[in-house]
Amino acid sequence: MQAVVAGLEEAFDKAREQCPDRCVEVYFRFAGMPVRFRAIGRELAGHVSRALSHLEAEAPGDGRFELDIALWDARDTGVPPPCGPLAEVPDENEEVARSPDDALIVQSRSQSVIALDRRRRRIVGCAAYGDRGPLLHELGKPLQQLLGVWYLDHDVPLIHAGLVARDGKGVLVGGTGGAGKSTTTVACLLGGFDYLGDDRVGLCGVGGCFVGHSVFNSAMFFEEHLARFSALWPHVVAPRHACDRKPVVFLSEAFAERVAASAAIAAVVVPRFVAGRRGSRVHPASAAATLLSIAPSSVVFPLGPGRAGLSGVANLLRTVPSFSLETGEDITMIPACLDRILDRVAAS
Amino acid sequence: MITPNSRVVLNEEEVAAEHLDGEAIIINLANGSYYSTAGVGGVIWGDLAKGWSLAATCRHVADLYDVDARQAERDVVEFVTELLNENLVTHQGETTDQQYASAPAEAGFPPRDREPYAAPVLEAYRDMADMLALDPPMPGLKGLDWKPGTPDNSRDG
Repeated sequence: MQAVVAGLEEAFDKAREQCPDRCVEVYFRFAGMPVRFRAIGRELAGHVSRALSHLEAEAPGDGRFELDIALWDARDTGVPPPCGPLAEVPDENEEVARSPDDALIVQSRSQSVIALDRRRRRIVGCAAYGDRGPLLHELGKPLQQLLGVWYLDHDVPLIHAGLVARDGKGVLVGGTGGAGKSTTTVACLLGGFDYLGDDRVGLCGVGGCFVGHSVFNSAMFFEEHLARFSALWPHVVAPRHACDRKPVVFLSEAFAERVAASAAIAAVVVPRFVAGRRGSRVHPASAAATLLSIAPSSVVFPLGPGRAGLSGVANLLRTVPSFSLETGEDITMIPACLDRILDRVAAS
Repeated sequence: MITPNSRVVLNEEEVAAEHLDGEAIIINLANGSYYSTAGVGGVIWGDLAKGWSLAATCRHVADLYDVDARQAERDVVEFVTELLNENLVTHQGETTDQQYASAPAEAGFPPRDREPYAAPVLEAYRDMADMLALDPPMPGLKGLDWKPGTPDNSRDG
């Protein structure tokens, strides 16, 4: 495993030496922590940073990073990964290898091989996307699993939830796949809320308060759900590969001023679409029922936050109130429901 | 076979759980199944989480709820057997531990009212397990012995 990572590092250095004019260097703040991102290959840089653009920041004055990301484009630079050539046509196959102490994690996909060195807080790897670019779930949520481990190492487990906020007060939108997180969060964005994510949020508890950190500025919908958001149609990236299931929208490109980096969490809501219903309705919910809706899909997935994620969500639910949101056909009524939740929390 | 003298402990290697408002939410991290149990079930899970013996848990249930001791014992054993079958607890032999002594009625006061009893129920949810059947969750990540703030990631300028 060490040899694999060392090989990737050497290849990155080689790509950087051979193609210095193609090096892109950008800085971000992930959950407020400084991150350096370098890519050798301008298209690759664009693919990876597009969903992270709302977290761009100035370079830290002391030159120290909590995460250093170093990627190169094998096609653009002509420097192949040490493991051999990558596929011409992408598929959904993936392998994850871990060192015995879990300090090194290598994620190999059809068109990329990327490693996380948890001790050195470094991600290094390469990709060789074709003319159509990466698969949409990689474009919309780049490096998601490896970033998830990094966030967890920094006590910010990524929870399977969306987050919107009004005047800095956030409502976490939980639920399993298909519950309506993306619809609820985007409906709220269009209703004037700030947007922090539709299905992955970093959860940070400090001194009895909880802050949600945005990870990606994208939203992904099934096409039949996207049909309800005409304001987004000009910004949709449509499926390009056979295994692309959901189009993606980069909301910082459409609503730059309303995509936020973090917000204090004031309440949690779990949506549920009710067929035949026109409007939306909110009910108080028990913390246990809400935990049951949110936790399993947050906790149980490859390289997921496990116990830390469950504990984080449980502690959040012990602190802030929970609600269930019955949504109907008229999604324009959803923002008002979340406003009522925030008013109720403010009044209590 | 589980008896009131059985020593049963939570399967901490594969199971994560939280207790909220008397209800236990339990997740099997190895296969994605998850569970909830409230009321008497929540009390039993809470007692096991504290390391109590089954005998102590049976007495605790009979103290809290309007149920005779034998019925409580039968239901606790049956419930814990279900937990064992779901791999949420492990059976570690027998014990005669007496951690819980029923609270005696205070002199001059009537016995505390016990709550209405309903047999413990373990609600099981397999949707995540079904989804992960083809792509099982990996063993949990080991923590590392370092703290943020002292990165060593700069290989170059």
